[in-house]
Amino acid sequence: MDIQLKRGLLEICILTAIKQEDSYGYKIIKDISPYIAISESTLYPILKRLESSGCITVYTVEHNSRLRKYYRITAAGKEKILDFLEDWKDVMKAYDFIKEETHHDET
Amino acid sequence: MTKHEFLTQLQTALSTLPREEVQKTIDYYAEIIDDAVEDGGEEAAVIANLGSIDDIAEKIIHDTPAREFTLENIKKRNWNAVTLTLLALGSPVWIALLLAAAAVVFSLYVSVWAIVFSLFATTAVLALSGVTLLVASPFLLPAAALKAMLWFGMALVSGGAAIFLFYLSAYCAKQLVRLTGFICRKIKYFFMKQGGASDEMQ
Repeated sequence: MDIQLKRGLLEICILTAIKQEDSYGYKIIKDISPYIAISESTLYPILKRLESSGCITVYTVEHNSRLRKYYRITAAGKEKILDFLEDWKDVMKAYDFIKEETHHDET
Repeated sequence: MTKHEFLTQLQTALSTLPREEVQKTIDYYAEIIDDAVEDGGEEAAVIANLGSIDDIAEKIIHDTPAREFTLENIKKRNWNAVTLTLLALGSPVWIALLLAAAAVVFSLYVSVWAIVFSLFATTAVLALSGVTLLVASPFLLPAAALKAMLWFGMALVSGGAAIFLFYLSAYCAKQLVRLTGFICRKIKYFFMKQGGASDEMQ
């Protein structure tokens, strides 16, 4: 998959994974890996970027006598998911067109 | 590899980064390992799964703006009094050298344009003389027919040469403009990369 496209998709997947309830690194990877390939070393820079762009906030919770970072979605982050869904309506339209035409060619 | 070994090696691999950044990364990986082990994974297997330390470090370093670790490296380099004094004392020499180098580059660029300009000037002169000879030759006709023919021939030669040279000089100018654009883009890209390395994907 195109690297820019994958990055964009991963951002939205991560935001979606923490939308219902705040989550932490390991759980985010576990939750979204059935849908899109993600590694620990890929998640980290994206979380950093989402934090610096104000889409998520970070707080620390004590868990089993160690610290765990939780990520919470902000209003801007929720907005980003909605924007994504809106934008992809057009992408899906184009996708249907491309698929249809390709199908024509094959038959 | 144990968790401790992994984190120590990662810390070493990231030593060019700001200290705060290194700590955050170490915290992140420590948490991931702890959570994976808590989830029933075996420590060594979990760590093996994270990939090579060099790859991890490379991704993070690539993702950090150059600005940040340049500053960190300058800080770490320990600019002692001797180095700074030498730099200050040497400034008449290295500033002058730097300016001279810039001037040489600039003058080279200007002289390339001068060549193109002279090509255009030659074209203009040839065209002008061609037209003049062409207009003048009929007036010579009754008195000196041979001379008139010579002038007419020269007019055609000048005109032809002018047309040829015009295309040549236009081509040179176009290439030079393209080259200028190319150099400008390179310079811009160089600075953008320095400032915006963080925008790139791992």
